[in-house]
Amino acid sequence: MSDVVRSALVASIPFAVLPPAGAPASAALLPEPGASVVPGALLVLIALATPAALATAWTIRPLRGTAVTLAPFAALPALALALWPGPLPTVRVPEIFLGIELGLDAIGKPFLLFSAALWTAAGVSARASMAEDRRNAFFGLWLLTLTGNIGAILARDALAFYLFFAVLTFAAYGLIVHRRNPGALSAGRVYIIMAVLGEAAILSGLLLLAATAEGLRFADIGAAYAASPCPTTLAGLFLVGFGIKVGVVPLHLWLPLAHPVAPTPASALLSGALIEAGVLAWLRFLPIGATALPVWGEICLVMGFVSAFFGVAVGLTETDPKTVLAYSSISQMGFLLAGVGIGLYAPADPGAVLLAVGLYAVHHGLAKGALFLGVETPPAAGRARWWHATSTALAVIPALALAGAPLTSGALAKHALSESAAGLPPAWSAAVAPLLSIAAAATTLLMARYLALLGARPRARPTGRRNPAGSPTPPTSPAPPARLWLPWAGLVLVSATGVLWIPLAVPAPAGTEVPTAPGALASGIGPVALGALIALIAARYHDRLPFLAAARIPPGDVLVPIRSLARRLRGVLTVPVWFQPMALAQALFGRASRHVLELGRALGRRDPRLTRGVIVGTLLFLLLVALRLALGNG
Amino acid sequence: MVALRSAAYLPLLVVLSSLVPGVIIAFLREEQVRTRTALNIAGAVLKILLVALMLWGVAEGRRYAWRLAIMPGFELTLVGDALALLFVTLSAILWLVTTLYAIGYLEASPNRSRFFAFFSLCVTATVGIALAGDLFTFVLFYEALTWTTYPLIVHRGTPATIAAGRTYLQYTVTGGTLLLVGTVWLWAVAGTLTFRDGGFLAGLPAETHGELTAIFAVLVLGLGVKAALVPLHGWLPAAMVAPAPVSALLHAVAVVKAGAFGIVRVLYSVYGIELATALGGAQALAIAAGITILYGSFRALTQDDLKRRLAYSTVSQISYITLGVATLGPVASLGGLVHLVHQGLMKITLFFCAGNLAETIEVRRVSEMDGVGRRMPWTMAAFAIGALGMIGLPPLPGFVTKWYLGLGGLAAGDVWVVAVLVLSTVLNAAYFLPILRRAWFADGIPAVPHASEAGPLLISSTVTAAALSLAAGLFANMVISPLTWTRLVIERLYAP
Repeated sequence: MSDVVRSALVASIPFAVLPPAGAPASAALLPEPGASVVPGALLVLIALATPAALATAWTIRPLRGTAVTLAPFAALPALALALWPGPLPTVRVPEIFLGIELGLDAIGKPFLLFSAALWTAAGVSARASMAEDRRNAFFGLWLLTLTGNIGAILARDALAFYLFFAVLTFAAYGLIVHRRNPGALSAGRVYIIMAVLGEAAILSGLLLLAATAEGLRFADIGAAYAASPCPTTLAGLFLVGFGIKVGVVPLHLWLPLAHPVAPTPASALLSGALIEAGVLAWLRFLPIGATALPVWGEICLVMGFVSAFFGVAVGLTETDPKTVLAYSSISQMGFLLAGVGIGLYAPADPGAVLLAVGLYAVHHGLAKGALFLGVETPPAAGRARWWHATSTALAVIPALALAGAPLTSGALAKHALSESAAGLPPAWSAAVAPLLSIAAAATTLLMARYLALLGARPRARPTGRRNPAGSPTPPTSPAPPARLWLPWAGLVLVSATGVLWIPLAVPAPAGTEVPTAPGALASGIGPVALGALIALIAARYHDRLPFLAAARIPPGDVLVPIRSLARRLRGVLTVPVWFQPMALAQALFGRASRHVLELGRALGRRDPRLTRGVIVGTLLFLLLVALRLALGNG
Repeated sequence: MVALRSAAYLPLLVVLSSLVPGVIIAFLREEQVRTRTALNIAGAVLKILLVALMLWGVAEGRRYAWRLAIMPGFELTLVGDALALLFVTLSAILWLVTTLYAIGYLEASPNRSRFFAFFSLCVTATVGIALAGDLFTFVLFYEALTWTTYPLIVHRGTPATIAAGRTYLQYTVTGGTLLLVGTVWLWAVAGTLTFRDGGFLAGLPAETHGELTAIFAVLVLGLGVKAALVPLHGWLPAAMVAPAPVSALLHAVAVVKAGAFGIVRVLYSVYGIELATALGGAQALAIAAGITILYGSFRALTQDDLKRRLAYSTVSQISYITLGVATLGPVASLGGLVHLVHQGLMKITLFFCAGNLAETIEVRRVSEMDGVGRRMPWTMAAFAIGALGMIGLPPLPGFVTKWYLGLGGLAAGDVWVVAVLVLSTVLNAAYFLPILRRAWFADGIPAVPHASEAGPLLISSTVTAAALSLAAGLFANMVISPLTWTRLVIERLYAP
């Protein structure tokens, strides 16, 4: 019966992602000519099935302990897959969901590579640092999130991607609120509200895409845009929907709240792997290289650089190193958004854009992961000299990489990004390189802030593992236990040597090559030196510039006024608003007008908080003006 | 030859498999627990076997019809076709699950013989509605459903349940009367009431169209009561005072489904999509369904009583079915019809969970649910599957529904369908996710015992329902999934 039913329905329902009639019922391997594809295909299945099977085992109480023990290593098969040299076929599993296809292509490979490495390092670290009573719950959601992440990278069609992306999004909520304290729950609330709105945008986009598409394989996406009556709307829905996960301005509100409250290994994942899953989604769902959407290209470029500078400006005012890193992520994601903007603007050379974004994602994922893991194990006073030196080096190296110092993965990635801008109109292509340089100096400044905060902390953070009766760590211990810092050191090593292995491991799309020339690797020297110089001056003279030290912006920046507005509206919203327009108007404008009055009064008496706000606001405004001028004259 | 003749009795046997146990149970004494349980389970299992036999036959291309002339010109007709079997299969499977649940739920409570007798009769009526081969038979069983459900709603006999029962009767009897009026009027105009794929009214001359439009409105108003179309939905939130198995029956297996299925029959087998469109009825119905979807979700947002929140959720979700079948084209209809099954699976899971919470730890309000996930992990895991499915997250069945509804809406040129679906997704998230957050991520009252999971029968039926929900979405493309069967239904409806 099945063949009859299937073939009949494939004809009548053109959008179903279904195998053609007569396709084998079970997992079918689509053979490619040449070498045997069976090992590669098996590896694809195993990479996804390992975390999925462990997540299933976790739900069965007798197996839960085993699943938690193995959880840190659940991403190892994916790592093996990312390094697999043989041919990698597409595996079709028609029975699951509406039929899914899995495989690993040149776009997915870099993402799988750093994600799997990061998951493993963070997993080992979490296993070592987390209190046992909370570990089980943590790793259950961990495995589910990992399944979503690997699945999204391996998905070869839009529906499969959406499936795994949703798993990722909703399971990650559990990692964010893991500590269950008010701060975590409140951050989780902002995250989940934004995630649901993102899902809504993505769902709308998917439906609009499928309505005119021949199929939903990623290979068909370009054609689907060409056939769509509303390609601009489509791209907008995907940019916003996935942009919420990426956390670029102005969709970043959840990010600086969620990253600091999550347990540190989870923060490393959020900032390294999860937000970059959103970048991968952009590469998959936007018509890079197929349809030119100059309007969105320009918006992405502008918002990308706005994010880049906004993240630094606000991040400099923060006092928690994890919040600083969160704002650094907003800033770094701005570069990736700018890269996507180049792709949307000038589809003539999509390979260079895809390569640059892939390289940048690998670089940022590893470096940011290493920076986050470093928060947990800072150099502590009274410890062995060798440990002090080692841990300082471990903290500084990824910070240098992120800033784009010569001979780091950052220099490689920034060079590639700068090169990919060649296809843009002259005004933009002339502006991108200088903007990237200024941004690199700014990033250096932000990294200096992170290192200063890290060094200023007197002793190691109490890790999750509780000492009996609250006794402090014995002062004789020369260094923290290896299981705490080894994953960190390993990740730093992987990140630091990136410049050597990334060109070998990341496949270059046709017509491009991964930059390895010494000149390319030294390009970052000027901006980093400038940033370091400013940081040194600021450190030397910061007590003469009190406003610098006083400037504080609460994490979540513009969320603060949004929240206070929402609080005011809540009283009105409990009763359907449309029945009482007067109350609504009063809530909106009545209070707003009072605020304007308060603002004036505060200006009159020079409220110090306000002064700080004005300073940072003015700086931001000036940056924007400078940006606009640079573009206008370039 | 003998085999073929006996096969014609299959639809009748499916009806009898719950009618006979129901009648016998009615005469059992209260303490004959074993006999009653055996009859209940035997009936339910037998029905599933018979339905499986019919499913196999219909998939092979057979059609089962059984007729009994009861007065000149009127026959009792039971027909097993693909569409009927979609509903019958759902009812048969969920009847077994709900029976097991009800046995556990009502353990040692009074009047169980009465309860299970009417329970069986209620399912008999539902199966009759599903298998009805003409509008006359349909109306008979539809009325029977009203009267067999009433004793279940008022089962506890408290003033609140009596009041809810009265509301239920006021709404459904009015609806039933309208349906009867419409049916008689239709018989006067068309001279026949036998269902036909493509509609038995399709060939009528154009001068009858005015009358047919009026009849359409009357029929839909009559059916819309049980299908809980706004503003005819008032009885459903009121009826949430009934015991949990009855709520499951009302929301997932029988009553609201009967209304929605009636609308499907009126559109496909009475009028036919072309005529319904030409008369403008289909569009009006689609818009009413869209309004109902959003209205139900908005009302669900502010309900603190868990069952009442679920009830408003049903108001919203059941209209997905109406929206799908009233939007033109096979894809939207696929989404609508498959939701008949999907909504049933997910909503029965949710009501079982609500029953477990109320019976085991006396939690009836959302605001009391802090930390219940750790106290009742299985129940709340099942609830999570149901709730996330209702929101429509992949790979759960709610997404499959939404996907085809949305594609169908776009194919028909109705972009507003997508807007309704997306808004409904957000609203569903807004009233389901806070429950999950409370249950799993908030700390509960420390005084309560650590784990206090519901009894084994309650838990096993809840987990079964949740597993079926998960499987319906995760394996939507398998040969025996609801989606695959609905594809078969659509194939036969659109290409006879």
